[in-house]
Amino acid sequence: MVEKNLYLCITTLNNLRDATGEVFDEILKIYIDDATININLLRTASKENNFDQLIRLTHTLKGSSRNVGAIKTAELCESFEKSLKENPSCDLEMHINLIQSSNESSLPLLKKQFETKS
Amino acid sequence: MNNPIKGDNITLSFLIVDDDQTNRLILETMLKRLGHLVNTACNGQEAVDSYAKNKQDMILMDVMMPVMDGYDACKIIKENNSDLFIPIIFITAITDDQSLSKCIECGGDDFLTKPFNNIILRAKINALARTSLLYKLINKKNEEMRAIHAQLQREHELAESIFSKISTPPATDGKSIEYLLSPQSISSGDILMYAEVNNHQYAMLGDFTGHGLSAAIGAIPTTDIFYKMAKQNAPIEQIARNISQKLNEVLPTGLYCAACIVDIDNNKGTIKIINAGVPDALILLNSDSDLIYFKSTNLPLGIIAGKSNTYDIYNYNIKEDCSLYIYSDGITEANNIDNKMLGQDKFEEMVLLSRKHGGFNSITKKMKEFRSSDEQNDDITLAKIDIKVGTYSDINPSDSTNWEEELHINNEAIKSDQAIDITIDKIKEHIDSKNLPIENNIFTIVSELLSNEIDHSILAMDSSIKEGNDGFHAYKEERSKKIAEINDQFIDLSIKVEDLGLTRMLTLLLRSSGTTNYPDIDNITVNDDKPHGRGLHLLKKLCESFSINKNNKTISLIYKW
Repeated sequence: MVEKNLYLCITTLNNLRDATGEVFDEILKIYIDDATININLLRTASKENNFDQLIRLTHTLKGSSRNVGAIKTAELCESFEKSLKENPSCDLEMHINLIQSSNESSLPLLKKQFETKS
Repeated sequence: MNNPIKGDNITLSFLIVDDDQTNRLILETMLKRLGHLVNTACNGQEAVDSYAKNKQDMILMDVMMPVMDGYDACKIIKENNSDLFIPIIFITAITDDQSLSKCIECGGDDFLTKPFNNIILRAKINALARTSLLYKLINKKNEEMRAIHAQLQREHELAESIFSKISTPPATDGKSIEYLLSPQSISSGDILMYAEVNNHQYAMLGDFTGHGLSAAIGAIPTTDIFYKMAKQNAPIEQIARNISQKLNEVLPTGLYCAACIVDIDNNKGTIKIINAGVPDALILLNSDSDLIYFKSTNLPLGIIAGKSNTYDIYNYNIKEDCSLYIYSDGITEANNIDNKMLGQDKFEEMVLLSRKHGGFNSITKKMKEFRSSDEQNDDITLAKIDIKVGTYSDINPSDSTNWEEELHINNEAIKSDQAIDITIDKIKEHIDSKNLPIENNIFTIVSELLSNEIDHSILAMDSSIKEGNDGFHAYKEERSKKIAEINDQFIDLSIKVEDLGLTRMLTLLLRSSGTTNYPDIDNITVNDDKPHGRGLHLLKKLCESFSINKNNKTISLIYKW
């Protein structure tokens, strides 16, 4: 049975913890830091209308989010990536805001995982 | 669950290529916990450089990366190492079929989607690892095969080098022999030998079954025996017998040498030919006349061993200038472009026409025109030996009534224990008594005469060694040792056969380099208690006369029948 809430897939997180052992905490910390950096880079790319950069950053954030079970953020990235490819005149700021919001909601839940032991 | 696990007990080295640190760390941790070694790269260019340096066993490649994406990196790595199998697994969040298909098209071997599943990752790695190991094993075997092939090629070339040095006649003035040697492939199975010794022209054409090493193995002793015995003016029957014996010993079953051996005796004006399995030898007279044929009447050499082999020998008297042709079946069995054989008749036609038009060169030219391509189905060998008529002695051996010859048995012949065989063969060429007791007597006389001379006069053997237990073995060992060390020894034997009407007479006069004192033959007795001392007595008994001249150290005897 897959356990998930709106923002996180707990099953994915538990599988990751099992697979990575004592490195799990470090992985989450890196994700948390990199996600924030990537979102800032998305804003910069958006201001510059750099669509290649936008697509690449969104794709990267989607992948890493999926790996750590941050499913809401991953879905929003997928949606944004699709919009960028199909409709370049979409509302860039709106998508980025949604992603940022989801990330901010996910972070505390992820930080809690540091304290969770198997 | 802190201990790393070695999947399937194989430790592999991995290259993880992803621009995202989180992804790199997840995969690196998973792989290290499985007991594998890991390098990482942030983009496609770093991946290409890292692989060039480290040659990892497997690559996990992200698709979308800055500087160089995964598709390009995969293509480059695969192209730069086209003789290797490098498993590349694309790690991707892409889900559309077209993009996934592109992963495979650019050279990827599998893909792994996100989120990474440890069990699926392990299964994919193991599957590709098995394939990779199999590939490496095949490569290793290929390398071994290449090395073996190279070694065989070197041995083949060595055999060819040896063979080509010994299988062509040594340089002559070019006037006596002309030849064509055309091997089918790198190494030939044909050999051609020629020697001019004491006004004899010796020639031998050999056609070995097989090529390459098997022919080279037989060619070496064959050429060695031929040239040594030609130098001794040995009878061709003896040459044939010795070669056949040796080939029977060294060649594997089923391999032999078809041959034609020729002795053109310009002292006496005779040609002796042994044809053992090759096409008809031909004599073309310079005057207008048909060809003279000498068909094969003997088994090829090497099939039967045994020093008692006899050979049919053609004896031809030289009456005018002529040419002798000997050739291998590669000539008559040569194919033209329509796959039709030349055949014996067409070849003979070429030979006849060459008498007045173009000589030997015209035959080789016509052969080339007939074949019209460089492809051959067999080795081609052809030799023409020119023979000039001379002034010969009245004693014509083919007359078989009166004959005489001076035989010089040199150090080599004595050393190789061939003195008796050479002499017997020489005598048998001229005596055909069809009477076995006569032949046995002659054999006994020659054997005893020469054995006595070699053992006691040249080797100075002490017959008393034969006495006692194991005496003959000791004598034989002592004799072998002494004979191996002789130098510059010889026996000159004058042989004369005369027809006296109702009887025939064999006269032998022997002189040698030996130094032993001869006994007083008038007082030779046989002691029945001793295992030696019978030879001279036997000679005295068999011969009409038997005498030893101590002053000029000669032995002479007369045998009548």
